[in-house]
Parts: sequence; structure tokens; C-alpha cells
Amino acid sequence: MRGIERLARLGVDVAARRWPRDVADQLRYEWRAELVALRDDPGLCRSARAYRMIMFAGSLAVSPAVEAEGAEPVDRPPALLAPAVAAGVLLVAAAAFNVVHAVGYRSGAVAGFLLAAALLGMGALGYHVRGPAVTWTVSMGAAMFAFLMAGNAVAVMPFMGWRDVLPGVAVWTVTTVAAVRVARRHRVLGVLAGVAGLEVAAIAGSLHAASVVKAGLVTAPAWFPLALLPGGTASFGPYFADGRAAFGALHGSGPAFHASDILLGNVSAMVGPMLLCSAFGLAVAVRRAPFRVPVPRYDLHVPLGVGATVAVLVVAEWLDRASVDIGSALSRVVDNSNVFGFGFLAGMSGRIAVALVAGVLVGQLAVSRRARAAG
Amino acid sequence: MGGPRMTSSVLRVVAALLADASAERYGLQLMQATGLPSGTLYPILIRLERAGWVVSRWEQVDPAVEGRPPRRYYRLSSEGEIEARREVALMQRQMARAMRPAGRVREA
Repeated sequence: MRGIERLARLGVDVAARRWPRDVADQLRYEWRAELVALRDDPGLCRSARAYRMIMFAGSLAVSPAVEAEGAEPVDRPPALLAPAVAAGVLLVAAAAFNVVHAVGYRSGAVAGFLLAAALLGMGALGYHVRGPAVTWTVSMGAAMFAFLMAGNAVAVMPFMGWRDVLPGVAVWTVTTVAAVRVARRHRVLGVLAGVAGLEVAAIAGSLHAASVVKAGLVTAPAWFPLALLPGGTASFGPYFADGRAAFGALHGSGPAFHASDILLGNVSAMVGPMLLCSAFGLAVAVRRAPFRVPVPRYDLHVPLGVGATVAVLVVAEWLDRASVDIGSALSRVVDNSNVFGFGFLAGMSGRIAVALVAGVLVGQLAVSRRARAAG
Repeated sequence: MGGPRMTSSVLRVVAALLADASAERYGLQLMQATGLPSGTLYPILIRLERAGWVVSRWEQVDPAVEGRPPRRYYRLSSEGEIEARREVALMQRQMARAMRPAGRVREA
């Protein structure tokens, strides 16, 4: 119990530090007194006391503090909004990039046009929503890690383990947060920093793959731009004339290919969605508009949110039934026609998570629109 | 001094304090009465106190004798009680109007 109490005290101390100076010390003292009362409550069993102490401190630690006295009230986004926005933006970005690459296999010019359109679309989306750009970028990084790991549980991409995803996503998150901070003051510098971050993230996320397929590191600066182009634009590394190869868990055969085809296909799965997420995050930062909590007049957001949740579940079921043979995975990697893995939609928990994200976002969107219409 | 922004959570706190306006309550009691978590309750209490609706005082005990630190008690101020009753009554009227059958609304 002593450890739990210490943890709870740490929680209320951390929470109090975020409050304005005129009330922080009193509140810390008050909350510590309440923790002692919970610890000594004779009406509760030992585990219930520990649970309530942790809940008491945890709720304070994750809740926003009040503004300083005399300051304008600051509206803060609901707690669930950041992860929902992050997951929603990432899924939209991944789906958009998959479409770009599927088209790019057939027509590079159309793919270039579509990629530009997707970038503009994500930028416009970011420019029109109000929110904390840094928090959302960090959340997007976390969502990216989770979805890339979950989406490739069945190996569509040969190099999508933690040794590939973790460095790539970590570097993207850190560099994009820095770019977002810069973009608030200098738009052009922020965008340049974002592009540089993508370049470094692509290299960090592909070092392991490059060492396995024996692609020379001298080509590393070209990985990011080449990953955005149709497969076969540039070739390097060992040549597999008979199309046979085994990389990690992936074994297969198909047309002849270079190691670079595998490497760049793998890079695409990571940096394509990253690129579109960067556009969104930088646009949010450039706008610098504070979040305003919308006030709904009608409860349409609830049925709309539930409707979106059900719709995603139905679409996921349809996609699952229409899914193609996973045995053709290697050839699809080679031609870059299949990038970001949506394998998490195969499992019920993944579907429910995505459906809930859609429900929260559509519900929030309905509230925002209603509030805007109400003036 | 401007009044606090009325949300359903603020109304729950106000209603809990109004249940016995002269009684003093500490945070855990209010959490139980309202069902609100600590992270929601305390910001509301601070805002109500700043608006002058709620006053607080520290329990007068000797921590060494009691073996525990003093707690902070909250109650409605006289001004807060008047404003709180007005807001709760307003909310009840709005609720009654919303619950009224459509035909009766048209008649009105």
C-alpha cells in the first residue's frame, strides 16, 4: 500500500504543478489530505482503497487545470480527441497513399498528380481544423507505430518489425514536432524542416532492411524521393534474376527484381503516410488557431457517430470477405502496388478500434458544424 | 464578477451543494454526491470559488493529534445560493419544456 500511496502522491504533485501558482500549493495540500482519508477509509477493502487512490490522483493528473485568475478561459479538446484525430488522419493518409501508389503502378503522371492532390487535401484539412499541432503530431506518431505494427502482422511488407518501424516513427515524430514548432513562426523553414525530417525518418526506418537486402548505404539519401515514385524508377542492390527470394518471414517468387524494389516498397509503406501526416500537422501549426469547444444545440452528433461506427464495421467486413490471396504478397511489394498494410481490419479488435475512431471523429465533426451553423 | 459557465457537470456540483446549502462538504463527499471524478470536480470548485458562489475553509485540527492533515471544506456562499437556485430552477423549467408533448407546445 505504501508504494500505491507514494505513486498517488506523485500523481497529485504532478497535477498540482500544472495549476496556477495562487492555488497550486493549497490544492496539493488538499489532495494529499484526501489521499490520506482514502487510505484510512475503514469502509473499503485494501484493494478498493488502492484503486480509489490511483483513480483520484490519475484523474487529476490527466485533467486540464484551470486558467490563472483573471485570464480568459482556455477551451481544451476532449481527452479522447487527440488519439482519435491522430488515428483518423493516419488512416485517411494511408488509404490515400495506397490509392496513389496503386495508380502509380500504371501511370506515373497520374500518380504524381494524385500525390499532389493528396498533399493539398491533407494540408487543407489541417488548415481548417483547430487544435494543438504538437500534441496531435505526437499522437500521430504513436498511432503510426501501432498501426504499422498491427497492419503487417501478416507479412505483406518484409521489413515491418520493431527494428524498422520504431526508429523510423521515432525519428519522424521528433523531427516533425520540431518542424511544427518552427512552422509556427517561419512557414517555409517549417516545411523544409518537415521534408528533412521525412528524409531522415526514411533512412532510420530502412537501415535494417538495407542491411538485409544488401543495398548500399550510399543510396540512402535517395530512398525517400524514390519511395514516392512508381516501382522500377531506379534500381540498385543485388539482382534476383529468377524472382526467388526469402526475406524474413516472407518467401515467394515472381518476376525478376532488384533488392532496391523490395527496399523502396518497404520505405513507401512507412514514409508515404508520414508525408501526408506531416502536411496535416504543419498546416495545423501554420494556422495557429486555438481550439474552441463547440456547443451542440442538438444531439445529432450521437446518432451520426454511432452511424459512422457501424458503417466502418460493415466496410471492414466487406473488405475482409473481398481480400486477395496473401500468397501473392511478394510480387505486390515489388511493384509497389500495395503499401500501407490494413491487416488490423482482419481482427475484430482492430475493426472495433477503427470504428470507434470514426465514430468519435464524425460525432465531433457534427458538433463542430452545428456550432458553426449556430454562430 | 461574472458567473461560471453552466455545464451539466457544474449543475451537478451546484445541485449537490444546494441539497443542504448550509452544510460544508469536502472533495470526496462531493465526488460521491455528484459522481464526478476528481479531475472534473476540482476545476469546477475553483471556478465557483473565484466567481464567489462557493467559499472554502480549512478544517481546524491539529495534524499531530489527529494523525492526518486537515481537509478543505466547501459550501455555497449566500450569493452563490441565490444564483444556484436560480440556475437549477431555470434548468428544471427547460427540462420540463423539453419533456412536454408536442401538442401542448403548439397550444402554448
